[in-house]
Amino acid sequence: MKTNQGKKGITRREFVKTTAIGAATISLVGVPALIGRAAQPPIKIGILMDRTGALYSFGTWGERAAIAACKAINASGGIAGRKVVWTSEDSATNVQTGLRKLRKLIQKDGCEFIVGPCNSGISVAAAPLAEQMNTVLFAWGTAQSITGKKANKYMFRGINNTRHAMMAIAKVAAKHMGKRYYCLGADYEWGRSAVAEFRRIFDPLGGQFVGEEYSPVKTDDFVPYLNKIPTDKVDVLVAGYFTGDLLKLARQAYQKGMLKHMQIVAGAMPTGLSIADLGKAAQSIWFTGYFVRRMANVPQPLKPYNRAFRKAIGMDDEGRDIKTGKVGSASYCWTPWEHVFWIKEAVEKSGWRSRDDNPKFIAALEGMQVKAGPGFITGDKFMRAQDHQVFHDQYVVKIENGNFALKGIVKGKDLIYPPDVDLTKVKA
Amino acid sequence: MIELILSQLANGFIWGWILALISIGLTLIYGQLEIVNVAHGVLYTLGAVVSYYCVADFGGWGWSLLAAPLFLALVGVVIYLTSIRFSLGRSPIVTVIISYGLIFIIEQVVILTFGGNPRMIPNPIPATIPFFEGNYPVFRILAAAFSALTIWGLLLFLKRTRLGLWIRATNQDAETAENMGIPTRRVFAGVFCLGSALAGLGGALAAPIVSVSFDMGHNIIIEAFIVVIMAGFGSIRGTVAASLIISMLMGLAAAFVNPVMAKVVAMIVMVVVLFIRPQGIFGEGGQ
Repeated sequence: MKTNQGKKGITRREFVKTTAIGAATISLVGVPALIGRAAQPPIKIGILMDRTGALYSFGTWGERAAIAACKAINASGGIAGRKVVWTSEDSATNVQTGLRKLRKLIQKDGCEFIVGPCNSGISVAAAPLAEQMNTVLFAWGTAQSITGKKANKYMFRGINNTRHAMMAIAKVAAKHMGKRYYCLGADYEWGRSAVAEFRRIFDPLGGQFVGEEYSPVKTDDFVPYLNKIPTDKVDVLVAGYFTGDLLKLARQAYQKGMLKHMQIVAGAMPTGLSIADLGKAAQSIWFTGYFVRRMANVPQPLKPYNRAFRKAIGMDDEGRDIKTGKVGSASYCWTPWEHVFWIKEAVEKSGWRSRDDNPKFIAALEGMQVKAGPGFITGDKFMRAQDHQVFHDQYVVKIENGNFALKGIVKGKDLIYPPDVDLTKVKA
Repeated sequence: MIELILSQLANGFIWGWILALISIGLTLIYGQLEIVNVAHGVLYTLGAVVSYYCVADFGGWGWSLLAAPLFLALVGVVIYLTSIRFSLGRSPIVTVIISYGLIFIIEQVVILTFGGNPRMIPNPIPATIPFFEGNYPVFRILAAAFSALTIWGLLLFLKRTRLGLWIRATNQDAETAENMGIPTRRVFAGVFCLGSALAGLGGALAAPIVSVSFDMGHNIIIEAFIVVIMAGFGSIRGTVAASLIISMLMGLAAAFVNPVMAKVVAMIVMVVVLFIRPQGIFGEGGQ
C-alpha cells in the first residue's frame, strides 16, 4: 500500500470525503431555509364594501382605498416580507348580503383578515360570525354600539364613532350657538345614537332640550316633522341624518323660513355632498367630520401623507374623483386604507403567521399607538384595549363663501370617555 | 294646535296631488294590462334624473315637464316590447319578477351614469308665502296644481278622444274590442307608455322638492300601491280620492303622533276600507 509519508496536503479521497460531508451539512441546514423563504404564502385580506345600495358612495371609495393600501404595502416589501393579496366583495348595503359575502370571503377565498364596510348594521351582525370563523374584522361603521354593547374581541374600529362626532360638535355648538335645541334623526341605529350622544354632552354644557322626532330613512317630505318644531323656542336643530336626508331637511327647513335664527348641527360630514345643492340653506349648517374634505384644511404636518393618499386613490385636492369630477368621501374613505396598515403593524409586532396566532395579533393591537405617516395619514392614534376603539382628532366645519371652512379641531385626547365594555377580560 | 292641524292637512292635500299623478300611471297599467308593475317607482326616479339633467345641461327645470314624460314614454316602449308584452295573460308572479328585474337594471344604469350620491335641483320658484307661523314654498302649490291639471287633461283625453275611447273599450273587453277593429296590442303598448310618462312627469315635479337619487323610487312605490289598492285598481277618480285621503290623513295624524305612526294610522284606515269594500273605494274599472 502506497502512503504519502513525508508529504503535506490532503489526498483525493480526503477531499472527496470532506466535500461530501460539507454538502450534506449545507443541505440539512440551508435548503430548508431556502425552501421556507420561497414558500411564504401571501397574506389574504378580504375587502367587504357596500359597492351598491344606499351607501354606494362610501363603499366604492372605501374599496379603492383598501386596494390602494394593499398595493402600497406590496410595493414596499409586503407585510413581514409576505405579499398581500385581496379579494373584494359587495355587501350591497344589506345585512344578509353582507353576511353571505363574509362567509364566502373567509370560507371560500381563505381571507385571514376582513376590512369591513361602513354599514354599522353589517359590522354588528358580522362580528360574531367573524369570531366563530377565527377571523379579525375591521369595522368602518360609526355607530356607538360597535365598540359599545355589541363590541367583540375579534372586531376593531379604526375611526372615531358617533359619540366622538357628537362630542365634538356639541362642544363647538356650546361655544358658538344658543342653548335651546330640538332633535330630528333617522329612525335607525346611527340616527338615534347620534341624537343621544349629542344630548349626553350638550345638556351638561347648559343645553335645554325642547323635543325630538325620528323619521324613516329616506323620508321625502320633512314638512310634517318641521311643522312640529316651535321655531321661536329653538336655537339649534340637531340633525341625525346622512347626505340625502340632510339635504332635504336643510332645504325644506330653509324654505319654511326656519333658518333665519336657527342653526343646524349635523351628526356627520355628508359624503358626496355638493355645496351648490344646498343653496342658501348651506350657511346655517355645521358639520362634524372624521377628517376634512379639502387639502386646504388638512393640518400642515399631515399634508404630504394626505397628498400621497389622494394620488393613490385618484382624488383631487377638493375631494373629487380626478376622472369623473364627482365628489367623494374624503372625510371617511381613509379608514379602510388605515385598516390595512393596522393589520401590517399588528402582524409585524406580534409575529403573526396564521390564524393560530390571532390571539397574539389581537393582543398586539390592543393598546397599540401609531404615529402619523404614510400608513396613518390622518394623524397619531391609539387603539384602546378595552373596547378596540381608536381615538383621533375630530373636525368641525361650516360652509362659508361657498366652501367648507374649518371651524375647530377637537383633539383625540379630549374625546376620551369611559369604555362601555372591557374586552381585555375576554379570551381570544 | 289648530294651526298645526291645519298646516299638516294643507301639506297633505298638496302632496296628495303629486302622489295621485304618480299613482294614476300605476293604476292605468294594471287596469288595462292587468300587470303589477313594481318598476313604476324606478320610472319615477328616471323622471327625476331627466329633470336634473335638464337643469344641469339645459339651464332650465321647465324643459323637464316635456322631456321627462317624452323620455319615459320612449323607455316605456322599449320595456314593453322587450319584456312586458311577453308576460301578458300569464300569472301575475311573472310580471312581478320581470318588473323586479327591471328595477335592478335601471337602478344600476342610473348609478353608472348619474352616480350614487343624492343631488338636489335648485327650486325653480324660490318664493314662499306666509303660512300660519312660518312660510310655505310656492313651488309645491304650483306642482300640485300642475298635477291636478294633468289629471284633468287625462280624463278629458280618455273621454273625448278616439284613442281614449279605444283605451276604455279595450279595458272593458279586449276580445270584443279586437273584433271591432281596435288594435288592442298597440293600445296596450300605448297605455304602458302613458303610465310610464305619468310616472316620469311625477318624478320631474317632485325632483325640486326631494333629493334626486338612484333609489328614490323605493318609498314612493309603496305609497302609490297603498293608494291604488285603496282606490281600486284601474280607477282614476278613485286614485285621486284615495291619494288625497291618505295624504291628508297622514298629515292629520302627524299633528298628534309621531309622523311614522301617522303612516301606521293610514295603513289601518286602508285595511278598514278594504274590509268594507274589498274592491276599493270606486271599485275596479271605474274611470
